[in-house]
Amino acid sequence: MKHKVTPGRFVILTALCWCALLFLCPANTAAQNTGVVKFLVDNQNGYFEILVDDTLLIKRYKDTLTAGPHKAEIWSYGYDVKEVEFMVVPDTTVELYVKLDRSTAYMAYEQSYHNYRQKFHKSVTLPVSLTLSMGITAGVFMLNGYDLKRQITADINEYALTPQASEIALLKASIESNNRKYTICRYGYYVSGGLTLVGIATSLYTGLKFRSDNEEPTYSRSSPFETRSSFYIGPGGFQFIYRIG
Amino acid sequence: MKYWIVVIALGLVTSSCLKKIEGVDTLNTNIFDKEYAGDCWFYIDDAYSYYNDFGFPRVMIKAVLPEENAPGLQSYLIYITCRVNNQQEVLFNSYLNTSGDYTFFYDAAPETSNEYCLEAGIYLQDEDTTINRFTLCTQP
Repeated sequence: MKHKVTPGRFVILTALCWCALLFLCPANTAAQNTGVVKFLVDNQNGYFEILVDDTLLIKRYKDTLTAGPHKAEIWSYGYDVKEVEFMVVPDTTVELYVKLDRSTAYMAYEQSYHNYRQKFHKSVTLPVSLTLSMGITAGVFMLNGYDLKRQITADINEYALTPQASEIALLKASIESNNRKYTICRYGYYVSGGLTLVGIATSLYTGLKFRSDNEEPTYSRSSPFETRSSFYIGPGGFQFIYRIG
Repeated sequence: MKYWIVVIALGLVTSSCLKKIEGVDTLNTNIFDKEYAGDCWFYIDDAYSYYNDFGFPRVMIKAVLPEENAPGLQSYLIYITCRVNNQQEVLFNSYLNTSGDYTFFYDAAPETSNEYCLEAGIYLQDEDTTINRFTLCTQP
């Protein structure tokens, strides 16, 4: 639930931010009571969120914590939340290797998405690709055919105007040869053009049927910690998220 | 529904392209073509008897190669070989006249039958031969 930030709330939030900054900033923490923990999170997408001691949500791999035992819940989208317990030793860096396990829901989603894509390729990609290739073939035949037609028409016109028997013989040979090629282009064009039309009709039918019969699977990437506050300091600035309500 | 209308329209447009070229199978209309298959390319316009400058009787046959039988050949000098009956063959060069036709003449000796058959053909200078001979008969 989101609230409109009034001026009064803004002042409070700003103050809270500064408090948190001062509280969490390593320079202002009693160094002898803290240690560093490094989370080596093993997952494929590189993203993770860590909820430390059920209170502090961090999205970085390293943090300074008070010495003593701690508990962390680590999550990444597509993975189950994993709980780990660890001990922070003063003035020491503790490395914590955490391998996240794929969530069953995500694996089911991946499988259903894989099936969806396979159906998509079968119903849309394949007919559209074949139609496109047939269309390009028809286009090539058509362009060649038009070139030949223009040449033949010009030769026929020249034939009527030519008073030289030898030139007439050459023109007729050229017309006959070009007309043979033109006929091949015509048949090629009609066959590939017809197949293109069939392909368009098939693509439309299978595409529309696919759209009506299938729905793209979705997977929620929302974090189980999204209601928690978080604090982050990075090279570009700091971020403090506090959800009201 | 609109998709199918587009498909049908495409089909109609497609089928209207690359039609068979008219005239390819009938390339035999040029009178200079050795494979000319048209009708007689000239007609006899006039035939009359007259006496020449030496007082001998003669028969003049006037023939015309009409413009429509030689389209596009206007202003071109053409050579025509002519012969009436079995008389001497002559070579006549004809220019375009004002009406767009080519006119040629044959000055024949009188025949007792009074029938004059004009045989004319197109003379090819390069090959020194005459092609597409036709014969038309007339009486003065």
